[in-house]
Amino acid sequence: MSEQQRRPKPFKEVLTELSGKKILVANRGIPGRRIARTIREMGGAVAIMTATDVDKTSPVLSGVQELMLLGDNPRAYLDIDRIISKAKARGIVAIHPGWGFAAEDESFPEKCKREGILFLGPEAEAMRLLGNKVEVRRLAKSLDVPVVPGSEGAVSIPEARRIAEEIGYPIMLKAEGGGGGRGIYEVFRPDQLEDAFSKASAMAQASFGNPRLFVERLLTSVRHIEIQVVADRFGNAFAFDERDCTVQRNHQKLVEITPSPWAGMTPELRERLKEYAIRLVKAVNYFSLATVEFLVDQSGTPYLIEVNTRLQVEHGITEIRYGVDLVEEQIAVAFGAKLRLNKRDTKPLSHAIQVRINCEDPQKNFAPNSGVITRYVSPGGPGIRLDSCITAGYEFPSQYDSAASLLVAYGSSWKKALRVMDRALREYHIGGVKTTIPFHRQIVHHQAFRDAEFDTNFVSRHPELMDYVDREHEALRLSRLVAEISAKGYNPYVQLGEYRGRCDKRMGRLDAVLPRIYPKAYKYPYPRGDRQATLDYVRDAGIVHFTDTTTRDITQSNSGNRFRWAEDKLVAPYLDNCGFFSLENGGGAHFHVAMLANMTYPFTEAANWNEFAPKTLKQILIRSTNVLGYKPQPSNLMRKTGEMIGEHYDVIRCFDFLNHVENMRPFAEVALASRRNIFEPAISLSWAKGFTVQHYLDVTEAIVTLVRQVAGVSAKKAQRLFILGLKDMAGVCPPHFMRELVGALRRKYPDLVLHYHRHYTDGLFVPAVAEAAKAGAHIVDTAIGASVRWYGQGEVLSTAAYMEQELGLKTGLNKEMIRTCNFVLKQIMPYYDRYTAPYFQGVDYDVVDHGMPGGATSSSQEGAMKQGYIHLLPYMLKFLAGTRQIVRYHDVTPGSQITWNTAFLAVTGAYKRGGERAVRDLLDVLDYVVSTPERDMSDNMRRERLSIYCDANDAFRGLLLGQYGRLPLGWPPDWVYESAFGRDYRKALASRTEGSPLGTLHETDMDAELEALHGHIKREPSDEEFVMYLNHPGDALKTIQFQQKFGDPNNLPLDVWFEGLEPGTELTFQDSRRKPHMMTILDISEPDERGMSIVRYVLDAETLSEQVKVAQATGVAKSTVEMANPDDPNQVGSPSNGDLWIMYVSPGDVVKAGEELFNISIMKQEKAVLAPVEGVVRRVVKSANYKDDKKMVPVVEGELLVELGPIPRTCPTCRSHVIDERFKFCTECGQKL
Amino acid sequence: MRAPAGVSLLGPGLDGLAAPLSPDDLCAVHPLWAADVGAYGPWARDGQGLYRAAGAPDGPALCVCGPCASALDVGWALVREQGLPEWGAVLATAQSAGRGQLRRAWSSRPGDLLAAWRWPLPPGPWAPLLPLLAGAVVCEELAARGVPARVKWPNDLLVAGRKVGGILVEERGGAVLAGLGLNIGGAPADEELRDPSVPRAGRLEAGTTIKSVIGLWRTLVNRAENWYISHVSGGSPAQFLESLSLRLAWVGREVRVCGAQGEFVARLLGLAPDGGLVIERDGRRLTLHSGSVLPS
Repeated sequence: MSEQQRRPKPFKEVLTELSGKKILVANRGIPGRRIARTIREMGGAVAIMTATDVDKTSPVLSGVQELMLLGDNPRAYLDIDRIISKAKARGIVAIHPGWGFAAEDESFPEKCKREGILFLGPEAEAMRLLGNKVEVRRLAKSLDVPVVPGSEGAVSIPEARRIAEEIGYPIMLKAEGGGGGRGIYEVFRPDQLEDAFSKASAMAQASFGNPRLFVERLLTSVRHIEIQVVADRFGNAFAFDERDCTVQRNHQKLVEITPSPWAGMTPELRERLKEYAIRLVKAVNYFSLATVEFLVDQSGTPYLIEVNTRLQVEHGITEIRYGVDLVEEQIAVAFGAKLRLNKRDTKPLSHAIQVRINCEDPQKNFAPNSGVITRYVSPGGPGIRLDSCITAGYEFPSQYDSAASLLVAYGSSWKKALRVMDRALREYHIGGVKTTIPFHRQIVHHQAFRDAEFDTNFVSRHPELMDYVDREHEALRLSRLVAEISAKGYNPYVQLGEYRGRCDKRMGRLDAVLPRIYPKAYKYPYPRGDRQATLDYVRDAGIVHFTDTTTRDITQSNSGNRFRWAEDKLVAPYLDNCGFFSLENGGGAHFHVAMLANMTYPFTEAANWNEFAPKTLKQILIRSTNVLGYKPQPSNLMRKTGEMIGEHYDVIRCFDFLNHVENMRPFAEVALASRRNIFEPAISLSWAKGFTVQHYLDVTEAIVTLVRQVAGVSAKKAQRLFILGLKDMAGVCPPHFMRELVGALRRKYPDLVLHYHRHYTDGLFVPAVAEAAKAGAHIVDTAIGASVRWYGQGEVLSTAAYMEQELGLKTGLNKEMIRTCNFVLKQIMPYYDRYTAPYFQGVDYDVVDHGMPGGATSSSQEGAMKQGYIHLLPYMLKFLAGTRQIVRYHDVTPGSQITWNTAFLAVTGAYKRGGERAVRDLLDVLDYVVSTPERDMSDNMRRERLSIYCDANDAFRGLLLGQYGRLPLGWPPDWVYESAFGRDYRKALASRTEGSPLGTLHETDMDAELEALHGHIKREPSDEEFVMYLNHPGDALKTIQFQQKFGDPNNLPLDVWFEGLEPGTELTFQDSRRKPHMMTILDISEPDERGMSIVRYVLDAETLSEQVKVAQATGVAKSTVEMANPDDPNQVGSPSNGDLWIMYVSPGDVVKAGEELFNISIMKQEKAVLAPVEGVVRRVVKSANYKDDKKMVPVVEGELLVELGPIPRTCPTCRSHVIDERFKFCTECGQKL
Repeated sequence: MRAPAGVSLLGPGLDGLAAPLSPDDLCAVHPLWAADVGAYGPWARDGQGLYRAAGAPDGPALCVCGPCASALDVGWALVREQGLPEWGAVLATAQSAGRGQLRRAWSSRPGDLLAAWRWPLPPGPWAPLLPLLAGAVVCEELAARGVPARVKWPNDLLVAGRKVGGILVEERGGAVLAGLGLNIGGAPADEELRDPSVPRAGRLEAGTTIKSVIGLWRTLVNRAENWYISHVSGGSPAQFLESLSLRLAWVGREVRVCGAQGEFVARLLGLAPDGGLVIERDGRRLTLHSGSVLPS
């Protein structure tokens, strides 16, 4: 192709010329594909692309007709000489360099010219003059095109210093050989210059092979505006409207826009920039494509920075704006066509935005990631253009840049283009690698961006752009959870172990029948929201009031687990209309288990409760010092949790296992300050010596005093402000005691509302509750029948019936509604019974002695059994009975854990030392100590008793020191300290304290905790998440991450949650936005050798698959067949599992090495097995001849089939084989051997 | 005798195994071959007596031989002399004793693709899947040409329920040859077929995007080689099995299984990690490694 050609060709002529000609794209990925597409569109030209070994699998290769393979060196794209020589050998007529690699290497067009190949770009000299940053500055200056103030050319350090002072700081050190934003070093102060210079120079040498730097003024607050120009060989040139590439990061363009939405881009400025661009291009007789890049400051003053003499990444937006094909024009112009684009015919129309979708993780500093693209759903529809180099299943390579695709959105205006882009980014799903898609979504939503008020610092100035959660839509995430549970057969997240396997019988779908009710027809009598009015009503109504504990204490005590919100939701509307004073729906372990096993947000649940059961008061149980957490809380944390509690709950029952009333002060302050919340301090009740009616009256007095102080009112007034709770957490106080206690309380505090809570464990629930009610207790705790078992509360209707019929009391219950609620509950309970019921069940009157609270009974005993100490359980219970009489406090959290652990450790300790005998001795001592007064104790016994607490743990010792609070009946005797602390017991005695543990706590550093949580979940946490984290950091994170990974599991039905989904059955569910979805599992494969099952399923018409680890990796199965010895070449085994279908040899045959012995068929692969050595066939273990008898003989890999032996001697006379080595005479002819 | 790179004709034949073949001979066989002769010419004889195609001097070795007993026999003869490199193939114009599995007969018509194709031995977990790989690649090539092909396990090719192609893999002494027969020129009539336990034959409509035999072969080998390098060298077979099950005929449907255990009906589920066919019979899941599968 001679450039001496004078006549401009029409485009059509070029097309004809190109027919059948080979054109090479010396590039890869996105640019390769882009250019190859146009080549194929140009009338029959043949597109060829270069490909290194890594790129042989690239999806973009499907678009070219031929490949030029470059071998295994990933950098081979830069080897111009090799590429050109290969091109020449193949008869390629033209080469397009694309962008990047050697596209702006001026030797490329030179070398092509020499070989007679047309370079699809500018000529070498023109490229050099415009492409070299120093040259172009010189040229620009001579043409009166403004440039960024700076040096004329490459400088030395002293020169740099001088110029920097002249033009002023801050400055940029730019690599002469760099481009595309690389090789730029910013210097803000003179003292940084020297250091920066040497660093920048070294980096430039390493990156571009050219260490020279030049200096430019660093303009702050500028916009990057560039002008695309195209010119032909005949002096015709056309400049397009500007591209705004201001949104960058580290000088790398992220978003490109045409035309610029900036208010400062006036038509005058536009014309001016175009003028400059044309000037530059014409001055060097440039033809092909070029982009002239400017920085424009706030005042609208432009400065030329560089010219790119190649096709650019962002060319597509210009093509869309004008409806042209720049690559086509570039090729045509190279072949000598006349430029078809001009002011008259080429008009701009659309607004376009391009975002670069890279395989990088913006939240990890844009770290590139490579890997297999597991899912690829591309956007489409009107206004979208996509240039990509990836597809589903493609393994994105790590050897090249991270560009995955270029997404362009266009429309008739800037705002329309933004809307299209937003929609497209939402449609675009790339799974398996992290991409910049969510980051771009943040940009498009950002108001400053939309208002076009951004400069080149936009990204660095707005770190909130990084605050997003990169996740797929909820139904997809939930489907993965379903796949996991289904493959395993059980749900690992509920913390119940492997309670079920995949093939076990299912309970099946829970489709609860929910009878229709009319809530409007029932008027709830308690004035919710007004504490005073509610208390007054309770006091004066003349009926017994009921609190329902179905959804908290009872299910928790009996199941260790608790209802999910999804099941709460079913019964809530009914419970709301039963006429209960309050519904206990939160607190205690319920709060913790929400995050430990139900994976839900407990306060969101509480809010939902108030939506589904809006009428009834809500009640929560909290611990005085720990509130809802696992350790004592300082007051600022307590206040924060308290606020959230106060928002969702009305009645706040607060207890302390030592009845140390001072511990309740901070919470009293929170609760009493509100008009709505009702403070219910609860006295923990035990049935034991010392815990007399008078004792409890004293505790009550302390409580009344506390309230008086906090509320600032008289004692008489104080009584009317709160409810006193009576908490018999183990269910041990007998009916007569309750009668006395309640009676005494009513007499002493006539205006004080009493609320009685009792567990069923000893079997005397109804009599005890009835006596209390008769004696004047106002409110009692019960539960709905279907949920009642042994360790929680008793049943409501029977309790009410007893009260009404036997004792003549009145109640205000809506019994019909209770029955209906029970019906619904009956349908739910079987699932929880099946999967969450405790090991030990049944009423346990023994509790009167050992005092274990209902909530802990089953789990403690189960723990003993699981650790192999079931035979010691009776002893542990006996120990409990004894120690309770020595160290006296109430067995409720955390006291109950401490007592249990003490008993467990003492008994197992004795057992380990001396077997059951030692245990019995220990208990004898304990018995003796309890029943013998101090003065009557023998010296021997005084020594013996020291062994009782020698195995105690730190918690017990802390209790003895008063670290939890003041023991209700004073300190235990000194010998207990000697037993628990050993020799240092006197020191321990001296360090005892009676103050509240809350006094010594330091305030929580809220800011530090918030930052820690932010760091864990990589986004701004909600208030609720923060409170969850502050109370139970580990489990809160577990739940937050679970929901982030899978979504809200309450959207799944109960049976799927416990059992998974059966293949072939359809699951319809709604996501949290109420959008319906459908899922069917097609198949769950058997675990492979890694222990992984593959679940294939359909979700909303899309087929997906998920790998789940269900088993340990297995080894090879043993077999009972005779195996060939691999070290013995005479033993020929089967090469694999399969069927033997032809055995060619029989015993006695002589075979040569390499001769076929037999053939194994497996999956239409026939493997010929050849004799490894020469020999005679000694043994044929199995035989087959399919052609004749149509029978195949199954064999396994390595199974011995033929045994060879050395070729025997032959008789020298008759040449027959001597079969046995030991023969001395030939059997055929008798010859002596 | 060594098969050179690019396309060649086995001019002198191979004593006892294949008859001589010249470009004119080839043109006369069928219009599809004639198209090849034209497209890849001119043809020049080399030192070994082979006709070399000037239009295809590079690329995997492809040697077209004249009428022979079986392309596989010719292939093995070349392999024995180290004359057939990996991905190289022998295409036969006609076979007198073409073979299917277990030495069953394979009958062919002029214009059919009859190839003995040398594959590399895949590593590790891929080794037992070789027959599936070959079938999957051919199926994909047909699909890319607009032919809606399905794979009948393990590697028969079906179009509209009729068998248009079959593959037999033979392994000897560490080398692997895949015999491939594709009905382009014609197909055996129903009466000619062995027995009812075999699918009915069909023919690929020539003139779709199959304009020539060698042309089809070259794109097929290109596809196979690329695919092999990208997937087999590093990846795990699980994904391959996944995507193959999408092309598997009768997945999820009731099928008749004819095997060593006799005949029975089962539901076809998918593929096992070792390439076996997973079926469900009377509620129990089994994995087949032999036998044939037919629509019920």
